[in-house]
Amino acid sequence: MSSTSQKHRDFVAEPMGEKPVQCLAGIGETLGHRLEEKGFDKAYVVLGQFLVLKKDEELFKDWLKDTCSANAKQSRDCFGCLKEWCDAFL
Amino acid sequence: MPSTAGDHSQLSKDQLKNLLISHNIPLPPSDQRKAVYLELYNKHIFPKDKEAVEFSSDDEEMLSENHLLPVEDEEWNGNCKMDVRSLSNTELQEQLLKHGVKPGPILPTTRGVYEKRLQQLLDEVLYPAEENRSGNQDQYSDSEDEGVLMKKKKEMRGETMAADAMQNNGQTKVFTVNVPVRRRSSLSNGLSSRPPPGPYNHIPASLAAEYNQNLATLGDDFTVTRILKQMERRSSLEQAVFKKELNARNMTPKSQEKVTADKNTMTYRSPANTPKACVFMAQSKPKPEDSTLEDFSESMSQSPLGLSATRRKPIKGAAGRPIQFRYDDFATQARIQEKTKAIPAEKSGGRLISVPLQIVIFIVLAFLALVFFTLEGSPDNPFRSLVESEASAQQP
Repeated sequence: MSSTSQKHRDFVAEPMGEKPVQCLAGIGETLGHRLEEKGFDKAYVVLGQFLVLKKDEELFKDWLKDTCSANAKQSRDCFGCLKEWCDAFL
Repeated sequence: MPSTAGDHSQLSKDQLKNLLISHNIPLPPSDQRKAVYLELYNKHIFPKDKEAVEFSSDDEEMLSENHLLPVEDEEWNGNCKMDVRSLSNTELQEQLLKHGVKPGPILPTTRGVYEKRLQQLLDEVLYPAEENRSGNQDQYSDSEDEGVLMKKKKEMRGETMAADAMQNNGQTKVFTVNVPVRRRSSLSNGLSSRPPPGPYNHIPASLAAEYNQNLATLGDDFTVTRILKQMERRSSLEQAVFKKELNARNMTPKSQEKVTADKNTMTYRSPANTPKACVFMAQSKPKPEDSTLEDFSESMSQSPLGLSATRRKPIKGAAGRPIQFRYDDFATQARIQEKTKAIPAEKSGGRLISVPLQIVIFIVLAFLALVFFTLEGSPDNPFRSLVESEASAQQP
Protein backbone atom coordinates (compact mmCIF):
# COMPACT_ATOMS: atom_id res chain seq x y z
CA MET A 1 0.00 0.00 0.00
CA SER A 2 1.59 3.18 -1.09
CA SER A 3 -0.54 5.53 0.98
CA THR A 4 -3.28 4.96 3.48
CA SER A 5 -6.39 6.93 4.17
CA GLN A 6 -7.13 8.72 7.36
CA LYS A 7 -9.81 6.16 8.08
CA HIS A 8 -7.31 3.39 7.72
CA ARG A 9 -4.88 5.05 10.09
CA ASP A 10 -7.61 5.72 12.60
CA PHE A 11 -8.75 2.15 12.56
CA VAL A 12 -5.29 0.67 12.78
CA ALA A 13 -4.28 3.01 15.56
CA GLU A 14 -6.27 1.35 18.32
CA PRO A 15 -8.14 -1.82 19.27
CA MET A 16 -11.40 -1.99 17.37
CA GLY A 17 -13.59 -2.55 20.39
CA GLU A 18 -17.22 -2.22 19.45
CA LYS A 19 -16.70 -0.13 16.37
CA PRO A 20 -19.33 -0.55 13.66
CA VAL A 21 -18.43 -1.89 10.23
CA GLN A 22 -18.45 1.57 8.75
CA CYS A 23 -15.24 2.28 10.62
CA LEU A 24 -13.38 -0.16 8.39
CA ALA A 25 -11.43 1.44 5.62
CA GLY A 26 -13.15 0.97 2.30
CA ILE A 27 -16.54 0.38 3.91
CA GLY A 28 -18.75 3.38 3.56
CA GLU A 29 -22.37 3.88 4.33
CA THR A 30 -23.73 1.79 1.49
CA LEU A 31 -21.49 -1.17 1.98
CA GLY A 32 -21.90 -0.85 5.71
CA HIS A 33 -25.65 -1.17 5.37
CA ARG A 34 -25.34 -4.14 3.10
CA LEU A 35 -23.05 -5.85 5.53
CA GLU A 36 -25.34 -5.08 8.43
CA GLU A 37 -28.21 -6.62 6.54
CA LYS A 38 -26.20 -9.81 6.28
CA GLY A 39 -25.45 -9.76 9.96
CA PHE A 40 -22.01 -8.21 9.86
CA ASP A 41 -22.89 -5.25 12.03
CA LYS A 42 -19.62 -4.83 13.88
CA ALA A 43 -16.09 -4.54 12.65
CA TYR A 44 -15.11 -7.54 14.71
CA VAL A 45 -17.60 -9.73 12.87
CA VAL A 46 -15.88 -8.86 9.65
CA LEU A 47 -12.59 -9.49 11.38
CA GLY A 48 -13.90 -12.92 12.29
CA GLN A 49 -14.66 -13.62 8.67
CA PHE A 50 -11.26 -12.31 7.72
CA LEU A 51 -9.61 -14.66 10.18
CA VAL A 52 -11.73 -17.62 9.20
CA LEU A 53 -10.55 -17.08 5.64
CA LYS A 54 -7.04 -17.32 7.05
CA LYS A 55 -6.20 -13.73 6.19
CA ASP A 56 -6.10 -14.77 2.57
CA GLU A 57 -6.25 -11.66 0.47
CA GLU A 58 -7.95 -13.14 -2.54
CA LEU A 59 -10.55 -15.06 -0.62
CA PHE A 60 -11.42 -12.16 1.61
CA LYS A 61 -11.74 -9.77 -1.27
CA ASP A 62 -13.92 -12.27 -3.10
CA TRP A 63 -16.07 -12.66 -0.08
CA LEU A 64 -16.46 -8.93 0.34
CA LYS A 65 -17.35 -8.57 -3.30
CA ASP A 66 -19.94 -11.29 -2.98
CA THR A 67 -21.54 -10.14 0.22
CA CYS A 68 -21.74 -6.41 -0.30
CA SER A 69 -20.65 -6.03 -3.93
CA ALA A 70 -17.64 -4.00 -3.00
CA ASN A 71 -15.37 -2.89 -5.80
CA ALA A 72 -11.71 -3.73 -6.09
CA LYS A 73 -10.46 -0.68 -4.26
CA GLN A 74 -12.93 -0.96 -1.43
CA SER A 75 -12.11 -4.58 -0.84
CA ARG A 76 -8.40 -3.87 -1.07
CA ASP A 77 -8.70 -1.08 1.46
CA CYS A 78 -10.73 -3.20 3.81
CA PHE A 79 -8.32 -6.08 3.54
CA GLY A 80 -5.32 -3.86 4.11
CA CYS A 81 -6.98 -2.28 7.10
CA LEU A 82 -7.79 -5.57 8.78
CA LYS A 83 -4.43 -7.05 7.91
CA GLU A 84 -2.57 -4.19 9.45
CA TRP A 85 -4.81 -4.22 12.48
CA CYS A 86 -4.05 -7.90 12.95
CA ASP A 87 -0.35 -7.32 12.55
CA ALA A 88 -0.54 -4.73 15.26
CA PHE A 89 -2.93 -6.24 17.76
CA LEU A 90 -3.21 -9.95 17.20
CA MET B 1 -37.74 -40.67 -4.06
CA PRO B 2 -40.46 -39.47 -1.82
CA SER B 3 -39.42 -36.52 0.20
CA THR B 4 -42.08 -35.76 2.69
CA ALA B 5 -41.88 -33.30 5.48
CA GLY B 6 -41.04 -36.04 7.91
CA ASP B 7 -38.30 -37.25 5.66
CA HIS B 8 -36.26 -34.13 5.54
CA SER B 9 -36.80 -33.26 9.15
CA GLN B 10 -34.60 -36.24 9.84
CA LEU B 11 -31.76 -34.66 7.96
CA SER B 12 -28.96 -33.22 9.98
CA LYS B 13 -28.41 -29.53 10.27
CA ASP B 14 -25.39 -29.62 8.00
CA GLN B 15 -27.32 -31.48 5.36
CA LEU B 16 -30.11 -28.97 5.51
CA LYS B 17 -27.63 -26.16 5.21
CA ASN B 18 -26.05 -27.72 2.19
CA LEU B 19 -29.41 -28.19 0.57
CA LEU B 20 -30.25 -24.58 1.17
CA ILE B 21 -26.93 -23.47 -0.22
CA SER B 22 -27.27 -25.60 -3.28
CA HIS B 23 -30.60 -23.94 -3.95
CA ASN B 24 -29.13 -20.46 -3.73
CA ILE B 25 -31.15 -19.66 -0.66
CA PRO B 26 -29.34 -17.18 1.56
CA LEU B 27 -28.56 -18.67 4.92
CA PRO B 28 -28.84 -16.76 8.13
CA PRO B 29 -25.39 -15.29 8.67
CA SER B 30 -24.74 -16.63 12.10
CA ASP B 31 -25.22 -20.21 13.09
CA GLN B 32 -28.85 -20.90 13.88
CA ARG B 33 -30.73 -23.77 15.34
CA LYS B 34 -31.78 -26.56 13.06
CA ALA B 35 -35.35 -25.38 13.16
CA VAL B 36 -34.43 -22.23 11.34
CA TYR B 37 -32.87 -24.13 8.50
CA LEU B 38 -35.76 -26.54 8.43
CA GLU B 39 -38.15 -23.68 8.12
CA LEU B 40 -36.19 -22.22 5.24
CA TYR B 41 -36.15 -25.59 3.61
CA ASN B 42 -39.89 -26.01 3.93
CA LYS B 43 -40.44 -22.57 2.59
CA HIS B 44 -38.20 -22.62 -0.44
CA ILE B 45 -37.26 -26.08 -1.50
CA PHE B 46 -39.93 -28.44 -0.33
CA PRO B 47 -42.73 -27.21 -2.58
CA LYS B 48 -40.54 -27.57 -5.64
CA ASP B 49 -39.43 -31.00 -4.61
CA LYS B 50 -42.93 -32.10 -4.03
CA GLU B 51 -44.00 -31.06 -7.46
CA ALA B 52 -40.94 -32.58 -8.95
CA VAL B 53 -41.73 -35.87 -7.36
CA GLU B 54 -45.32 -35.86 -8.40
CA PHE B 55 -44.46 -35.60 -12.04
CA SER B 56 -43.33 -38.60 -13.95
CA SER B 57 -39.80 -38.59 -15.23
CA ASP B 58 -40.97 -37.82 -18.77
CA ASP B 59 -42.28 -34.51 -17.62
CA GLU B 60 -39.21 -33.57 -15.75
CA GLU B 61 -37.76 -31.54 -18.52
CA MET B 62 -40.96 -29.57 -18.87
CA LEU B 63 -40.93 -28.94 -15.21
CA SER B 64 -37.39 -27.74 -15.13
CA GLU B 65 -38.06 -25.40 -17.99
CA ASN B 66 -41.26 -23.99 -16.66
CA HIS B 67 -41.14 -24.06 -12.97
CA LEU B 68 -37.51 -23.82 -12.06
CA LEU B 69 -36.52 -21.27 -14.59
CA PRO B 70 -35.27 -18.65 -12.15
CA VAL B 71 -33.07 -21.13 -10.39
CA GLU B 72 -31.85 -22.55 -13.61
CA ASP B 73 -31.02 -19.17 -15.04
CA GLU B 74 -28.57 -18.51 -12.33
CA GLU B 75 -26.97 -21.85 -12.73
CA TRP B 76 -27.00 -21.76 -16.44
CA ASN B 77 -24.26 -19.17 -16.43
CA GLY B 78 -21.83 -21.53 -14.81
CA ASN B 79 -22.87 -25.04 -15.52
CA CYS B 80 -19.98 -26.47 -13.57
CA LYS B 81 -21.14 -24.67 -10.48
CA MET B 82 -23.71 -27.34 -9.98
CA ASP B 83 -21.09 -29.89 -9.36
CA VAL B 84 -19.22 -27.68 -6.94
CA ARG B 85 -22.32 -26.64 -5.08
CA SER B 86 -23.56 -30.13 -4.60
CA LEU B 87 -20.38 -31.12 -2.81
CA SER B 88 -20.52 -31.48 0.91
CA ASN B 89 -18.28 -29.36 3.08
CA THR B 90 -15.75 -32.10 3.55
CA GLU B 91 -15.79 -33.01 -0.11
CA LEU B 92 -15.26 -29.41 -1.03
CA GLN B 93 -12.35 -29.30 1.33
CA GLU B 94 -10.87 -32.44 -0.18
CA GLN B 95 -11.24 -31.08 -3.67
CA LEU B 96 -9.53 -27.86 -2.72
CA LEU B 97 -6.70 -29.78 -1.12
CA LYS B 98 -6.36 -31.84 -4.28
CA HIS B 99 -5.93 -28.64 -6.21
CA GLY B 100 -3.22 -27.40 -3.94
CA VAL B 101 -5.32 -24.96 -1.92
CA LYS B 102 -5.35 -25.34 1.80
CA PRO B 103 -8.77 -24.16 2.84
CA GLY B 104 -9.74 -22.88 6.22
CA PRO B 105 -12.91 -23.99 7.92
CA ILE B 106 -15.74 -24.27 5.44
CA LEU B 107 -18.66 -22.49 7.03
CA PRO B 108 -21.85 -21.08 5.62
CA THR B 109 -20.14 -17.73 5.25
CA THR B 110 -16.94 -19.02 3.77
CA ARG B 111 -18.38 -21.73 1.60
CA GLY B 112 -19.32 -19.44 -1.24
CA VAL B 113 -15.82 -18.13 -1.51
CA TYR B 114 -14.31 -21.58 -1.53
CA GLU B 115 -16.80 -22.78 -4.10
CA LYS B 116 -15.76 -19.96 -6.32
CA ARG B 117 -12.12 -20.73 -5.85
CA LEU B 118 -12.64 -24.39 -6.66
CA GLN B 119 -14.65 -23.40 -9.67
CA GLN B 120 -11.81 -21.27 -10.94
CA LEU B 121 -9.39 -24.11 -10.45
CA LEU B 122 -11.69 -26.50 -12.25
CA ASP B 123 -12.10 -24.10 -15.12
CA GLU B 124 -8.37 -23.81 -15.42
CA VAL B 125 -8.11 -27.54 -15.69
CA LEU B 126 -11.10 -28.08 -17.90
CA TYR B 127 -10.93 -25.32 -20.43
CA PRO B 128 -7.60 -26.15 -22.04
CA ALA B 129 -8.86 -29.69 -22.62
CA GLU B 130 -12.33 -28.70 -23.75
CA GLU B 131 -11.41 -25.75 -25.86
CA ASN B 132 -11.75 -27.48 -29.18
CA ARG B 133 -15.33 -28.43 -28.54
CA SER B 134 -16.49 -25.83 -26.07
CA GLY B 135 -17.86 -23.57 -28.79
CA ASN B 136 -21.05 -25.48 -29.34
CA GLN B 137 -21.42 -27.15 -26.02
CA ASP B 138 -24.73 -25.66 -25.12
CA GLN B 139 -26.10 -26.28 -28.56
CA TYR B 140 -24.94 -29.80 -28.35
CA SER B 141 -26.69 -30.51 -25.11
CA ASP B 142 -29.78 -28.75 -26.33
CA SER B 143 -30.02 -30.58 -29.57
CA GLU B 144 -29.28 -33.93 -28.09
CA ASP B 145 -31.70 -36.70 -28.75
CA GLU B 146 -34.22 -36.92 -26.01
CA GLY B 147 -33.91 -40.62 -25.52
CA VAL B 148 -30.19 -40.41 -25.10
CA LEU B 149 -30.66 -37.49 -22.81
CA MET B 150 -32.93 -39.37 -20.52
CA LYS B 151 -30.64 -42.35 -20.44
CA LYS B 152 -27.71 -40.19 -19.58
CA LYS B 153 -29.70 -38.44 -16.96
CA LYS B 154 -30.44 -41.66 -15.27
CA GLU B 155 -26.77 -42.53 -15.30
CA MET B 156 -25.94 -39.16 -13.93
CA ARG B 157 -28.45 -39.53 -11.24
CA GLY B 158 -26.87 -42.77 -10.21
CA GLU B 159 -23.47 -41.16 -10.08
CA THR B 160 -24.47 -38.16 -8.12
CA MET B 161 -26.41 -40.22 -5.68
CA ALA B 162 -23.37 -42.33 -5.12
CA ALA B 163 -21.18 -39.32 -4.78
CA ASP B 164 -23.40 -37.35 -2.45
CA ALA B 165 -24.81 -39.78 0.00
CA MET B 166 -26.31 -36.94 1.93
CA GLN B 167 -28.10 -35.56 -1.05
CA ASN B 168 -31.84 -35.87 -0.93
CA ASN B 169 -33.28 -37.93 -3.76
CA GLY B 170 -35.71 -35.42 -5.05
CA GLN B 171 -32.91 -32.99 -4.89
CA THR B 172 -30.68 -34.85 -7.22
CA LYS B 173 -33.49 -35.18 -9.64
CA VAL B 174 -33.93 -31.47 -9.82
CA PHE B 175 -30.23 -31.03 -10.28
CA THR B 176 -29.76 -33.48 -13.03
CA VAL B 177 -32.61 -32.04 -14.95
CA ASN B 178 -31.08 -28.64 -14.89
CA VAL B 179 -27.61 -29.63 -15.85
CA PRO B 180 -26.60 -29.94 -19.47
CA VAL B 181 -25.56 -33.51 -19.80
CA ARG B 182 -22.49 -32.95 -21.85
CA ARG B 183 -20.70 -30.84 -19.35
CA ARG B 184 -21.83 -32.94 -16.52
CA SER B 185 -20.42 -36.10 -17.93
CA SER B 186 -17.11 -34.51 -18.71
CA LEU B 187 -16.96 -33.12 -15.25
CA SER B 188 -17.66 -36.35 -13.54
CA ASN B 189 -15.10 -38.05 -15.73
CA GLY B 190 -12.51 -35.52 -14.93
CA LEU B 191 -13.17 -35.15 -11.27
CA SER B 192 -15.08 -37.63 -9.26
CA SER B 193 -13.48 -40.61 -10.97
CA ARG B 194 -9.92 -39.47 -11.28
CA PRO B 195 -7.99 -42.34 -12.80
CA PRO B 196 -9.98 -42.74 -16.07
CA PRO B 197 -8.26 -41.70 -19.26
CA GLY B 198 -9.62 -38.19 -19.40
CA PRO B 199 -7.18 -35.76 -20.98
CA TYR B 200 -7.28 -33.68 -17.87
CA ASN B 201 -5.61 -35.48 -15.05
CA HIS B 202 -4.19 -34.31 -11.81
CA ILE B 203 -1.00 -32.79 -13.11
CA PRO B 204 -2.46 -29.75 -14.84
CA ALA B 205 -4.47 -28.99 -11.75
CA SER B 206 -1.53 -29.02 -9.42
CA LEU B 207 0.52 -27.17 -11.98
CA ALA B 208 -2.13 -24.54 -12.25
CA ALA B 209 -2.25 -24.17 -8.51
CA GLU B 210 1.50 -23.87 -8.34
CA TYR B 211 1.44 -21.40 -11.15
CA ASN B 212 -1.08 -19.34 -9.26
CA GLN B 213 0.99 -19.36 -6.15
CA ASN B 214 4.12 -18.50 -8.06
CA LEU B 215 2.32 -15.73 -9.80
CA ALA B 216 1.34 -14.25 -6.50
CA THR B 217 4.93 -14.08 -5.32
CA LEU B 218 6.40 -13.29 -8.69
CA GLY B 219 6.18 -9.54 -8.36
CA ASP B 220 8.10 -9.56 -5.11
CA ASP B 221 10.77 -11.84 -6.43
CA PHE B 222 11.25 -9.73 -9.43
CA THR B 223 11.80 -6.50 -7.58
CA VAL B 224 13.97 -8.14 -4.98
CA THR B 225 16.24 -9.69 -7.56
CA ARG B 226 16.41 -6.46 -9.39
CA ILE B 227 17.41 -4.58 -6.29
CA LEU B 228 19.99 -7.21 -5.51
CA LYS B 229 21.39 -6.95 -8.99
CA GLN B 230 21.56 -3.24 -8.73
CA MET B 231 23.35 -3.46 -5.44
CA GLU B 232 25.77 -5.96 -6.87
CA ARG B 233 26.47 -3.84 -9.84
CA ARG B 234 26.95 -0.83 -7.70
CA SER B 235 29.29 -2.50 -5.29
CA SER B 236 31.32 -4.04 -8.09
CA LEU B 237 31.53 -0.68 -9.74
CA GLU B 238 32.74 0.87 -6.57
CA GLN B 239 35.26 -1.86 -6.06
CA ALA B 240 36.56 -1.43 -9.57
CA VAL B 241 36.90 2.26 -9.07
CA PHE B 242 38.59 1.71 -5.80
CA LYS B 243 41.12 -0.68 -7.34
CA LYS B 244 41.84 1.70 -10.15
CA GLU B 245 42.41 4.36 -7.66
CA LEU B 246 44.81 2.19 -5.74
CA ASN B 247 46.81 1.44 -8.84
CA ALA B 248 46.89 5.01 -9.95
CA ARG B 249 47.83 6.52 -6.69
CA ASN B 250 50.10 4.08 -4.89
CA MET B 251 48.46 5.14 -1.74
CA THR B 252 49.99 4.66 1.62
CA PRO B 253 48.16 2.22 3.85
CA LYS B 254 47.20 5.06 6.11
CA SER B 255 45.33 6.94 3.44
CA GLN B 256 43.70 3.68 2.32
CA GLU B 257 42.29 3.28 5.72
CA LYS B 258 41.03 6.79 5.61
CA VAL B 259 39.18 6.16 2.40
CA THR B 260 37.61 2.95 3.64
CA ALA B 261 36.58 4.72 6.76
CA ASP B 262 34.93 7.30 4.58
CA LYS B 263 33.11 4.51 2.84
CA ASN B 264 31.90 3.19 6.10
CA THR B 265 30.39 6.51 6.89
CA MET B 266 28.59 6.11 3.58
CA THR B 267 30.13 9.04 1.80
CA TYR B 268 30.46 6.94 -1.29
CA ARG B 269 30.82 9.95 -3.40
CA SER B 270 33.92 11.32 -1.76
CA PRO B 271 36.05 12.79 -4.52
CA ALA B 272 38.62 10.04 -4.24
CA ASN B 273 36.14 7.56 -5.70
CA THR B 274 36.00 8.78 -9.26
CA PRO B 275 38.65 8.27 -11.89
CA LYS B 276 38.63 11.97 -12.67
CA ALA B 277 39.46 12.73 -9.10
CA CYS B 278 42.28 10.24 -9.31
CA VAL B 279 43.88 12.30 -12.06
CA PHE B 280 43.82 15.27 -9.82
CA MET B 281 45.34 13.29 -7.03
CA ALA B 282 48.15 12.01 -9.20
CA GLN B 283 48.96 15.47 -10.46
CA SER B 284 48.97 17.31 -7.23
CA LYS B 285 51.25 16.79 -4.33
CA PRO B 286 49.97 14.18 -1.91
CA LYS B 287 50.32 15.85 1.44
CA PRO B 288 48.19 19.00 1.31
CA GLU B 289 45.81 17.30 -1.05
CA ASP B 290 45.13 14.49 1.33
CA SER B 291 44.38 16.81 4.16
CA THR B 292 41.99 18.87 2.10
CA LEU B 293 40.34 15.73 0.81
CA GLU B 294 39.87 14.54 4.32
CA ASP B 295 38.33 17.83 5.32
CA PHE B 296 36.10 17.71 2.33
CA SER B 297 34.84 14.20 2.91
CA GLU B 298 34.40 14.94 6.57
CA SER B 299 32.25 17.91 5.81
CA MET B 300 30.30 15.72 3.39
CA SER B 301 29.67 13.09 5.99
CA GLN B 302 28.70 15.61 8.57
CA SER B 303 25.86 17.16 6.63
CA PRO B 304 22.92 14.78 6.56
CA LEU B 305 21.59 16.24 3.36
CA GLY B 306 24.80 15.66 1.52
CA LEU B 307 24.86 12.16 2.81
CA SER B 308 21.54 11.10 1.42
CA ALA B 309 22.18 12.82 -1.85
CA THR B 310 25.51 11.17 -2.39
CA ARG B 311 24.11 7.81 -1.49
CA ARG B 312 21.75 7.82 -4.42
CA LYS B 313 24.13 8.95 -7.10
CA PRO B 314 25.98 5.70 -7.72
CA ILE B 315 22.67 4.03 -8.59
CA LYS B 316 22.15 6.63 -11.24
CA GLY B 317 25.43 5.74 -12.82
CA ALA B 318 24.82 2.02 -12.54
CA ALA B 319 21.37 2.28 -14.01
CA GLY B 320 22.95 3.33 -17.26
CA ARG B 321 21.86 6.91 -17.33
CA PRO B 322 22.98 8.99 -20.31
CA ILE B 323 26.67 9.67 -20.21
CA GLN B 324 26.23 13.42 -19.88
CA PHE B 325 24.88 12.96 -16.40
CA ARG B 326 28.08 11.38 -15.33
CA TYR B 327 30.10 14.10 -16.89
CA ASP B 328 27.92 16.58 -15.13
CA ASP B 329 28.94 14.97 -11.91
CA PHE B 330 32.51 14.99 -12.94
CA ALA B 331 32.35 18.63 -13.89
CA THR B 332 30.99 19.62 -10.50
CA GLN B 333 33.52 17.37 -8.90
CA ALA B 334 36.29 18.98 -10.85
CA ARG B 335 35.09 22.42 -9.87
CA ILE B 336 35.09 21.45 -6.24
CA GLN B 337 38.50 19.92 -6.66
CA GLU B 338 39.84 23.06 -8.24
CA LYS B 339 38.48 25.14 -5.44
CA THR B 340 40.11 22.98 -2.86
CA LYS B 341 43.28 22.93 -4.89
CA ALA B 342 43.40 26.69 -5.28
CA ILE B 343 44.75 27.28 -1.80
CA PRO B 344 47.67 24.87 -1.95
CA ALA B 345 48.44 26.02 -5.47
CA GLU B 346 48.85 29.57 -4.24
CA LYS B 347 51.02 28.45 -1.41
CA SER B 348 53.26 26.36 -3.59
CA GLY B 349 53.24 28.90 -6.48
CA GLY B 350 56.53 30.50 -5.32
CA ARG B 351 58.25 27.22 -5.31
CA LEU B 352 57.17 26.17 -8.74
CA ILE B 353 59.87 28.28 -10.43
CA SER B 354 63.13 27.55 -8.75
CA VAL B 355 65.29 30.36 -7.28
CA PRO B 356 68.18 30.07 -9.78
CA LEU B 357 65.73 30.20 -12.64
CA GLN B 358 64.21 33.30 -11.12
CA ILE B 359 67.63 34.89 -10.95
CA VAL B 360 68.36 33.97 -14.56
CA ILE B 361 65.08 35.44 -15.70
CA PHE B 362 65.77 38.60 -13.69
CA ILE B 363 69.22 38.93 -15.25
CA VAL B 364 67.85 38.46 -18.75
CA LEU B 365 65.16 41.04 -18.19
CA ALA B 366 67.68 43.47 -16.72
CA PHE B 367 69.96 42.93 -19.67
CA LEU B 368 67.18 43.58 -22.14
CA ALA B 369 66.20 46.75 -20.32
CA LEU B 370 69.79 47.91 -20.32
CA VAL B 371 70.11 47.30 -24.05
CA PHE B 372 66.87 49.18 -24.68
CA PHE B 373 67.90 52.16 -22.64
CA THR B 374 71.41 52.30 -24.19
CA LEU B 375 69.88 52.10 -27.68
CA GLU B 376 67.41 54.83 -26.84
CA GLY B 377 70.12 56.98 -25.41
CA SER B 378 72.68 56.59 -28.24
CA PRO B 379 72.66 59.06 -31.16
CA ASP B 380 73.06 56.42 -33.82
CA ASN B 381 69.91 54.48 -33.20
CA PRO B 382 69.65 51.80 -35.86
CA PHE B 383 65.87 52.13 -35.78
CA ARG B 384 65.84 55.87 -36.31
CA SER B 385 66.62 55.77 -40.02
CA LEU B 386 63.83 53.28 -40.44
CA VAL B 387 61.36 55.46 -38.60
CA GLU B 388 62.45 58.52 -40.51
CA SER B 389 62.28 56.87 -43.90
CA GLU B 390 58.82 55.65 -43.09
CA ALA B 391 57.74 59.12 -42.06
CA SER B 392 59.21 60.65 -45.24
CA ALA B 393 57.49 58.02 -47.31
CA GLN B 394 54.19 58.92 -45.79
CA GLN B 395 54.62 62.67 -46.27
CA PRO B 396 54.62 62.99 -50.07
